[in-house]
Amino acid sequence: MVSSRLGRTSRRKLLKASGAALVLGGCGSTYAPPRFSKLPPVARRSDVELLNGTLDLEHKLIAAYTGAIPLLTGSRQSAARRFLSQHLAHAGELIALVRQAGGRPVAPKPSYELGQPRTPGDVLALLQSLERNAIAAYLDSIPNLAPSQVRAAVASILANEAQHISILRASLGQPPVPAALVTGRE
Amino acid sequence: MAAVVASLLDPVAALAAARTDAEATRGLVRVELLLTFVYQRVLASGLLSASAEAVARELLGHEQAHEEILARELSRLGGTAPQSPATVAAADRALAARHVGRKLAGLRTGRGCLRLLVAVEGAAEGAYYNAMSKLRDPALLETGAEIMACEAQHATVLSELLHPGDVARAVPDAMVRGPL
Repeated sequence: MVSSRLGRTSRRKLLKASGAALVLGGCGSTYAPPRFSKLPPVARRSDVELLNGTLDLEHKLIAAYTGAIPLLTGSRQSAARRFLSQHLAHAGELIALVRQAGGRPVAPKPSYELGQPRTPGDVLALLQSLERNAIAAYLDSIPNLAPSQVRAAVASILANEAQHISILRASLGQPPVPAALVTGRE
Repeated sequence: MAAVVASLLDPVAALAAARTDAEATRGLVRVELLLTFVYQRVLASGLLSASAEAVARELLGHEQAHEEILARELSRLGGTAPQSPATVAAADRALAARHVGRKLAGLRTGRGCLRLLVAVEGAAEGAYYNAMSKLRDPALLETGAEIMACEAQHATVLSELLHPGDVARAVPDAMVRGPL
């Protein structure tokens, strides 16, 4: 029962969750999105690809948290709800940045294969794994992004993912801050 | 020259005015030296509980590692290393310059120590956030982002010590930018 509810997050749930992200993207985030200076078209195209790559990961995280929340209880569920709302904000920010760069934001997939976690511990481990993947992807993207303010915005998202990992690690009985450098491989 | 004058008056402005990787990195080394000083003084106060002290010692180790890594980068860039605060008064002036509304002098309780550490980590987040828009070297950008993420984790862990289970305080914002 637990595994089937997370195995494939339904399109309806995803549409509902991603709709919030699209609304966030349209209205802007809680602060003014970084302005793009005039850039050569090549640099902007490469930024769109990089930003869409990380947006794709945010869509997957949104799907995972959406599926995970009903499988968790108490403080773990509260944390997951909060992290879902933050990932929606990340997606909204990235959507706004992609549009600013003249690109088309990548849409969420109809469903995501998220495995068959059997226990709340398995669910938390899955979420931790996805957050780590996102961190690694953000780290790869930052040096290759052209506009400097966009790098800061992406780094600020990365730092938030790192905070999620701290809480998830603590929930799993692991050291919350295992290393001086957060690389996504810890 | 403008950055040098600015750094004497306002380290936040100095980082904002940084025009080279060396200037930006120097600003970050200064932040890490301040963090290290604050952690050392907090630990020396004896005010922390045993569990909080264990956490603070671990986080101090991270800050020292950050300072060493960035100091090496600064040397590679041909920059000169800043000095650590020499006194508590100097550290408190540096904290005030970074808009940290708490002081080392006058710490009386373990909770007061933790609140100071949370505030200082927030200032560090802000410094790295600003630096990420200044740095150009790809390796420095990656290291800066890795350290910034670690400082955010520090703030989360320290907040959990103050307010166990309160994830809204531990992870308050979707975008980590330090206090606005």
